[in-house]
Amino acid sequence: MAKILILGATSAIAEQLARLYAQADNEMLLVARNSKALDEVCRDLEVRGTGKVSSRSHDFNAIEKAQEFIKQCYEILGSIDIVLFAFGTLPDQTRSNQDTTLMHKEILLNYNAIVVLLNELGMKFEKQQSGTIAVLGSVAGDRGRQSNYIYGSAKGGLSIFMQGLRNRLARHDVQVLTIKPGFVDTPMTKSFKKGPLWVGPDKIAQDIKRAIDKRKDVLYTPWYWWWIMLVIRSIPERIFKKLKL
Amino acid sequence: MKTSFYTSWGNRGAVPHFATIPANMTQAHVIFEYDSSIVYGQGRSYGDVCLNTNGGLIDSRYLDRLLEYHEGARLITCQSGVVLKNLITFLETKKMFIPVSPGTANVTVGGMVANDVHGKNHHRVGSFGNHIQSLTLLKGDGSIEECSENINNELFRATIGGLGLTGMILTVTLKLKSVENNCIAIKSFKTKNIEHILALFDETDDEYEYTVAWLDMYSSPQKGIFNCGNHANGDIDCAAPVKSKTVPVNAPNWLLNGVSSKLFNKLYYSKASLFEREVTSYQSFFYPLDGVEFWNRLYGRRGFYQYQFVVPYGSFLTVYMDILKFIKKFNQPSYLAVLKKFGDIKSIGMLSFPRAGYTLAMDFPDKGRATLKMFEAFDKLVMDAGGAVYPAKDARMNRNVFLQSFPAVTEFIKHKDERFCSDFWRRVNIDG
Repeated sequence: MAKILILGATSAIAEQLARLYAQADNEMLLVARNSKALDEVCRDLEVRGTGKVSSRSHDFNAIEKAQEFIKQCYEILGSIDIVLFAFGTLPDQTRSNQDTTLMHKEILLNYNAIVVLLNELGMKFEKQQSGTIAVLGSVAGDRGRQSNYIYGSAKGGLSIFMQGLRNRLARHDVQVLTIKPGFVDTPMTKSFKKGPLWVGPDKIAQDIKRAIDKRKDVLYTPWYWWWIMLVIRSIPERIFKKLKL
Repeated sequence: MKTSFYTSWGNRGAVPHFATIPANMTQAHVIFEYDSSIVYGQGRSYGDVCLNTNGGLIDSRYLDRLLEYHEGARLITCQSGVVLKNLITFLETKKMFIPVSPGTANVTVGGMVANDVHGKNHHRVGSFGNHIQSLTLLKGDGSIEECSENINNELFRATIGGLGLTGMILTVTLKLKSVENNCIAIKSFKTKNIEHILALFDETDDEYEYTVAWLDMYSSPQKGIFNCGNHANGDIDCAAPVKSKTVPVNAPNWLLNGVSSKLFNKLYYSKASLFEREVTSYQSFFYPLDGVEFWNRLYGRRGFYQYQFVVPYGSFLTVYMDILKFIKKFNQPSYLAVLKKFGDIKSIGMLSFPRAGYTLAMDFPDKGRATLKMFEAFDKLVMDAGGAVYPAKDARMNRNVFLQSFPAVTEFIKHKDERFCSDFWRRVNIDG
């Protein structure tokens, strides 16, 4: 039996992971902005057999409400064993290059909104001396590329924040998992042309569940992204800066 | 707006569409940006009923949620994009099963409704459409219609088997049947000729819920394997093998040819004794080909056709013998052939294919003009016998064959939604 908090529960990967955890003795709280879309996800999980599913809609842009929000989550669930961060956007790099207000908004949601919640949760998990904090990052956070560096920098920053948090919570038996998916075929990436490296959100969710069970620190999913990013990271900057990536 | 390429199971080339992939039912409400749209589920129909070249396409892959389950009433309500294999996995935990199952589990519930699919138990329970409690339909004007036997009955009957042309099916409430376990008790016979098979259908009708025959069209007379099965009793488990093999890319055209398919048929026949186990899993009984994902790619880039027809019991043998003559004349043997007997339970859809008689499905590689010529000869035989050709498998029948197969189309067009269209519908040209 586990108490699970999912933030951004209408994201395709989060929904698939929630299905994997849908068993009679697990209790879930699902949070997303769009309450109608969230309702569909909850009904499905209830049918699939989750013991208790609660949901609430929340706008993660409201950074100032972070402390209050986490408090409310604890009021609903009592305690939290696993928390998954899955909300976020994929900013349009070209538009953001021309529009600083837009760029700032994207950074606020994809970095600030997450780390304030992580900070609140960090204090709780440090006290309870157990549990899992899992955050959806991206392979895009491993190196800045002209086509996607606003998203990439937020995910990269997040990855460093997670390293620090992991370092801090390791001696309290808290798992801090950074998930770095490659190309995933989801509504967020629907405008992309798909190739052989693309996989479905169900495959990613299976990898995440396994990584949580094995208490891993960093997950590249599917596995071959570890090798791809190893190559990408090792290209010298004076060559990398000239590449069209 | 960028175009995306979609293809159907016959794999005869992908065509461009303006695709929308709604993440939830709310998003499905604002998708009608194009003059015409068609819903695309898993692309398992063989021809063009699921395609709408250069037009709108609504990809239902994310509408895959189970919405309500009533154990007592044996009902499940789900979204139209739910894939059958996932539904079955869920139902297994509840000791339930779907009342009618097609030959692959890689189809969506919406697709099963829109093509009013049939299974190996038609003689007992009719087709899939006979087991739908109700459904909700999103019309082109944005309204949502609830349809059932009692509410909007005509629209209900137009939508079942309606090839996705009456609107977008959002949800389906399906009647289930309870089972004791996930096993099928199976019995197999090797058959000597077609008469032998027809006799076995008659003999086993009462004793077995599921019956189907496979034919080796290379042998003469056609040898075959007759499988019949019932849901098994008792507390046993036949969990299906988890891993399946995938054909990752199109095979070269020459891979499946007269020699290799002849060999395959021979091997299948001679190995048949292996399948004479007492009980087997759903997968090996209902979905034997699902073990190889994208097996359609084995035909190569040229793709393939399936020709499936139904004719009344009395005319079947004559039509069958004439078809064999044409196959010989055109020198294009069928690589895979399956025969089923439909019972006399009436399908409720206006364009439903299942009706009393024998139905034969034959796969042929696409050899261009010669293949089409042969099908035209088949058409004439089937039409003369008062039969029908199955749209879900079809990629080439003409207007007259469609009209003769489905006389209720005059009633159907009153319910066709003007914002929905498919390549199939344009081809048979009923509006024009």
